[in-house]
Amino acid sequence: MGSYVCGVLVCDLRHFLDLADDAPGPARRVGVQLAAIVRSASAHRVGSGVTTAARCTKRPNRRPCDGYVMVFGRTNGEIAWSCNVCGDEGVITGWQGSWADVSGLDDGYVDGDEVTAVVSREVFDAVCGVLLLDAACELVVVRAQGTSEGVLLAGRVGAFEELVGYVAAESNVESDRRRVRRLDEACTVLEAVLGQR
Amino acid sequence: MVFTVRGTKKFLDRVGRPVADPLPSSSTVLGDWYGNVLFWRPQVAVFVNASTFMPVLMPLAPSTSVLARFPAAMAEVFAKLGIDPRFVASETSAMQSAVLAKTASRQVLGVMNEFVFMAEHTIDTGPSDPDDLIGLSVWLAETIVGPISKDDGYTPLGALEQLVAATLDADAGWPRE
Repeated sequence: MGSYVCGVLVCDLRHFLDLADDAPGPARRVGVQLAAIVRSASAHRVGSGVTTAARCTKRPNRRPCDGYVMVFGRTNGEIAWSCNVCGDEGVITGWQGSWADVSGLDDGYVDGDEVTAVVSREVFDAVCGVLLLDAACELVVVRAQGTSEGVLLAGRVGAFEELVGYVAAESNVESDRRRVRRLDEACTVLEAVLGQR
Repeated sequence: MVFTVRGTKKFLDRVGRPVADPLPSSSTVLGDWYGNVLFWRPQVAVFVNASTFMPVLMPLAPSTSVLARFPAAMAEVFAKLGIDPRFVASETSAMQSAVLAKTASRQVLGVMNEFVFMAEHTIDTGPSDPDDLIGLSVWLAETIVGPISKDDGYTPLGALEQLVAATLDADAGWPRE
């Protein structure tokens, strides 16, 4: 498993994937968080840093941290990450080829101009939970960036249009009214962007 | 004698420009249809009815004539499903010209995406033949769709049968089979 070296969590993602059924909850939660970081980092170019939409999971002073995770893909294959608020940080290795590695996804088949939309964190969380997404929509989600106004989604018009369909499909089968409301809100924002085209 | 096809951007880019509101009201019992394009080889047009969620898949090419060819494809699917021929004849005769419009219902868009996913899955895993679009439409018509109520049997076919029965009951002037 991972270990802190001078306050930096250094870990190999492979140790957190396929955990045994009786693995402790905290280990599972760390694994989920690391996978989210890898998904965001592997969607960007190596050598580039970005503030992702992944939330920091630390609880400084027993209160949830409000920060976003910043990532930087190093040329030696490591992913360095740190929270932009509490400063929690780490390095991830062994992520290449795992299910969290989205570097092979290709959105070249969608057309249209580049567009952006800003959604709240809650709405973004609802979109993240959509299980059926094609590669272009998946990339819109994992490339999302955290900003002070909310989560910034960016992609081509074609990807946004597909994303509306997938979010609507999820909304059709969702029984939790709060989540349905958030999914509908996501559709409204995306459709507003498409309507301006 | 018009019917409205509400297309996604992909569909409208290939088939034609949408008209601005207000749209002429559809003269068909089934009302509006939604259209999308699937980039299979060859490309496929998928239509979903807004009131019953009935799916109809057909070849897209040539895309300029897809709307003209649609009533015949719909009639073929309905015939395979055993829908009353009087209803089918009435619908196709009311579909003499099509009006293109932008999409208006997320629910239908969501169902359309579900259909696409299910169709691609059944092709990838073997049971369905991508060349048999009528067979694929029939199979999709009998799958459970989230927004369809228990009263309509949860499936597009159930919803369509209910609508056909109600229409035939309401219109006693139709010739008996």
